[in-house]
Amino acid sequence: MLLAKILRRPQNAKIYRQKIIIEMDNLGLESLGIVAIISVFMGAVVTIQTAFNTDHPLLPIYAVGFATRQSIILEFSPTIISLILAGKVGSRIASEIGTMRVTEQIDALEIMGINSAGYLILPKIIASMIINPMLVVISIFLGVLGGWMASAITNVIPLSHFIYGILFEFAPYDVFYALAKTVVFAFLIASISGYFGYNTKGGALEVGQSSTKAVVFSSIYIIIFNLILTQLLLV
Amino acid sequence: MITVKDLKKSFGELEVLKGINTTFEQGKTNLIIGQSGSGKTVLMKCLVGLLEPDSGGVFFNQVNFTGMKESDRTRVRKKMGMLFQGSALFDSLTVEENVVFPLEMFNKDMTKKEKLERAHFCLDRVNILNANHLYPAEISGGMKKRVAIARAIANSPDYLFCDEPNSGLDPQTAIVIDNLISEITQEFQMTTVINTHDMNSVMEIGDHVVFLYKGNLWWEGSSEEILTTGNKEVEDFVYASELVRKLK
Repeated sequence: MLLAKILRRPQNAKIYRQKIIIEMDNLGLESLGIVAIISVFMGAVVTIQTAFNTDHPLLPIYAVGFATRQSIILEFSPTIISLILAGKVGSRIASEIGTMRVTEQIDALEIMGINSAGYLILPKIIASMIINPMLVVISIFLGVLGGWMASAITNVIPLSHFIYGILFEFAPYDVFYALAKTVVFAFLIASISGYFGYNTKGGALEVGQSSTKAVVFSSIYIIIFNLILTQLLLV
Repeated sequence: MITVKDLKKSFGELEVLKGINTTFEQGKTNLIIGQSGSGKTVLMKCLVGLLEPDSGGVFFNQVNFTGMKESDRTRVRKKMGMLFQGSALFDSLTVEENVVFPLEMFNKDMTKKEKLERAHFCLDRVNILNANHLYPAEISGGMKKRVAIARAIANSPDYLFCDEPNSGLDPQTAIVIDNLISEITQEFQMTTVINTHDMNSVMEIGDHVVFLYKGNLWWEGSSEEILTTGNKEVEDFVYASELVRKLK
């Protein structure tokens, strides 16, 4: 029912467009720092771990670069970054909307004749579905960069082999798969968090509880949909 | 004019409104008073459509608001303004943006300059134009109430609802807010309904007073009549304060 209310035709498209831009800044660009740090270190760790666990004469050395790239594109960037965003962005959405609920700001919107669910949640969903894939593309690049830096600094494998592995049999469909997953995860994060925030009842304590529930349920749904989408898109 | 007909509302076993019948007239300041838990807030929420009554109806100029479809209800709501107990200003917007907001949403024919002029007129009317670039967190409780009134009247509403407009304010500021609401009601010929338990408000601005007691409309009349009603429950409420008893 809430989703039907959210997806109702916007009452003022211009204001919704402005809100989408603001939300892209709030939910996306403000997450760039944490995404960058996690991606670089994640790529470095994956490279080092893969190098130590694939030290076998039958495996080519460039397999480290190949495995790093595939791990980052297929799983680490779309799923781990989405889980991180579920924590950061999900709690922000739920607490922002929850606070508006308990301080009667949502009632004020309703009294003005504004579809409060649509006005508050739809721009966040659209903004997340646009900005999160961009963050994941950045994360993929930085992850690979982290792996390159790890191999350059620690010498776990020669750099030329790492770069060869990174470029080896690159399939653009893998990136499409990663972005498709991210779009679905972004929808889940914003809509689930919006739902918990919008249905907050009580005071400050309940706002905190809504925020926690938003993070927990978003994370669980991301894990479940990760399995479903992997089955649908890769098998 | 707002007419309330046999309005009933329960929450589970608890009957909060037990068949309220009354009329709130245009150009008058109508006050709903009563003890905490008497059903004032629930009645107010039923009037503005934030709660659905179990039975009965609310009629805005003879049009049944209770049974309306959501799209029709939105049309009526555009004629409403509401002042909330906690002001309910949007934290992320400045004072000026808060007042421009309802104009931005629904007045596509107005230019940006016209919207700003209207917002400045409303802010000036409540004597707070000098704070237009501040955020709600940067102004006092009394100033927030003024901004909330300015926002409520921005779209020139026909109906103004105020939920406990004086709560958290000192007596002098409370009187200023009361008088402001009363002046605006007469100036713009609105139907104003105020939910309060402040006897000062009753005496200052109450054109028509409705007394709720345990979910029933127990008494209604003017602010002069309330002092001599002879009704025990009303007198217990009116003369609850030691100071008022001494003055009596």
